[in-house]
Amino acid sequence: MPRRKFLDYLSWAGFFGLIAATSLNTLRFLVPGALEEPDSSVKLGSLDFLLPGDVYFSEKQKIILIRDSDGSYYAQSAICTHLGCLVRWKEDERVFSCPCHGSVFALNGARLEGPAPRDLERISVVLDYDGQILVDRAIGVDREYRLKV
Amino acid sequence: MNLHPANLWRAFKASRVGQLVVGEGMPGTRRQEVAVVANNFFLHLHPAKVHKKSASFWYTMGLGGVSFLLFIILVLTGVLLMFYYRPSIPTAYHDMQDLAFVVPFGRILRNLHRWGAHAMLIFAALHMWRVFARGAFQKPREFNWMVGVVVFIIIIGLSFTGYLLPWDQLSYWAITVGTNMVDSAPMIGSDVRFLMLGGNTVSENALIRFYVLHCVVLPLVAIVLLAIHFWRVRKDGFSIPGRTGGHSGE
Repeated sequence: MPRRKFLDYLSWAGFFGLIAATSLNTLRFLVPGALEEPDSSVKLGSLDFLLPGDVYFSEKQKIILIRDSDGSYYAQSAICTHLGCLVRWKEDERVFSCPCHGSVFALNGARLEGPAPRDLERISVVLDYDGQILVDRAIGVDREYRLKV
Repeated sequence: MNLHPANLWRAFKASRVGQLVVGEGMPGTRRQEVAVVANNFFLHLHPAKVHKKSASFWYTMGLGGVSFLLFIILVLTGVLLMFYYRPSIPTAYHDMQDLAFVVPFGRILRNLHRWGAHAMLIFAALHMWRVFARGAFQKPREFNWMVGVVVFIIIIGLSFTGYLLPWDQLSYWAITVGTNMVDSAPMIGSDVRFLMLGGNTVSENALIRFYVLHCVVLPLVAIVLLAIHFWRVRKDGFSIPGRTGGHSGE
């Protein structure tokens, strides 16, 4: 390759390399390095926090804690599986309904009416070292999971 | 010196600055008359020659022009709203309330901005429909059609980003739903959502991002693209009713 052509290629490679590097770094700049988002887990209280059959709904934490009639606990995310709105607890009908597009879920999270494609997501509920119920929205569990008391 | 306005105007026109601003007097010949129109940007947004049938109001219905007029209204009212609106969680909703209840003429400005935005989307869609139905996107105007499609996407982007700014329940959940739609796109969906929101939920990061996109980035892109769009209208000429790929411009 003649020297002139080599230098030609080299300078173009440098030019486009610089543009590529700047673009990538600009993209990287737009990804925040630290987030001030609320903790996904929340401590709710001791094992007698709810009576069997009771429902605790937290709009702020976006979680639902339910104590089954056999005394065991399970928790589900209050985020609708359709497009992420917060469902509402309808006390008198014992269902969760989504104000955005009208999906309805049963108390145990089973999908009753669309457009939601899936049941409400079950999330982790454990007994923490200090004897408190710890619910974590970020950890999904399967539908058979229970915190047995 | 006679300070009569007419005299002052004559003196201004005779000065070098005056000549640069208003030109060097009335055109003398036919050629100069044409040049006055052809060289003036504002008198000559359209091509120099337009077929009689294309010049009829009912051919274009001025839909693109109305969209642009609405764009100007949106820029003017938007800049004025920016004097009061602060994009942060404690202030955004209250500033919007202040605009409605406290700031003189704030409510009419905000409503002009909101209804103008709805109207611009409608008129841009009608403009698009007219161009499509009349076949005005055909050769040699295909490139300008593509520019127009991108402008339309930018307008939708402006509507979407502006929707979050009032920071009320409607905007919060609308943006939650909208960005969750992005989330369902294959491969890159969740990354694009994270980048749009600057986080995992609609929060202050998202508010500032949408504000910057709404007030700076998207309007700048729109202005550049609209300049190209208008320039190409002038260069490509008007389509002629009933003629495929008709050409009546320069």
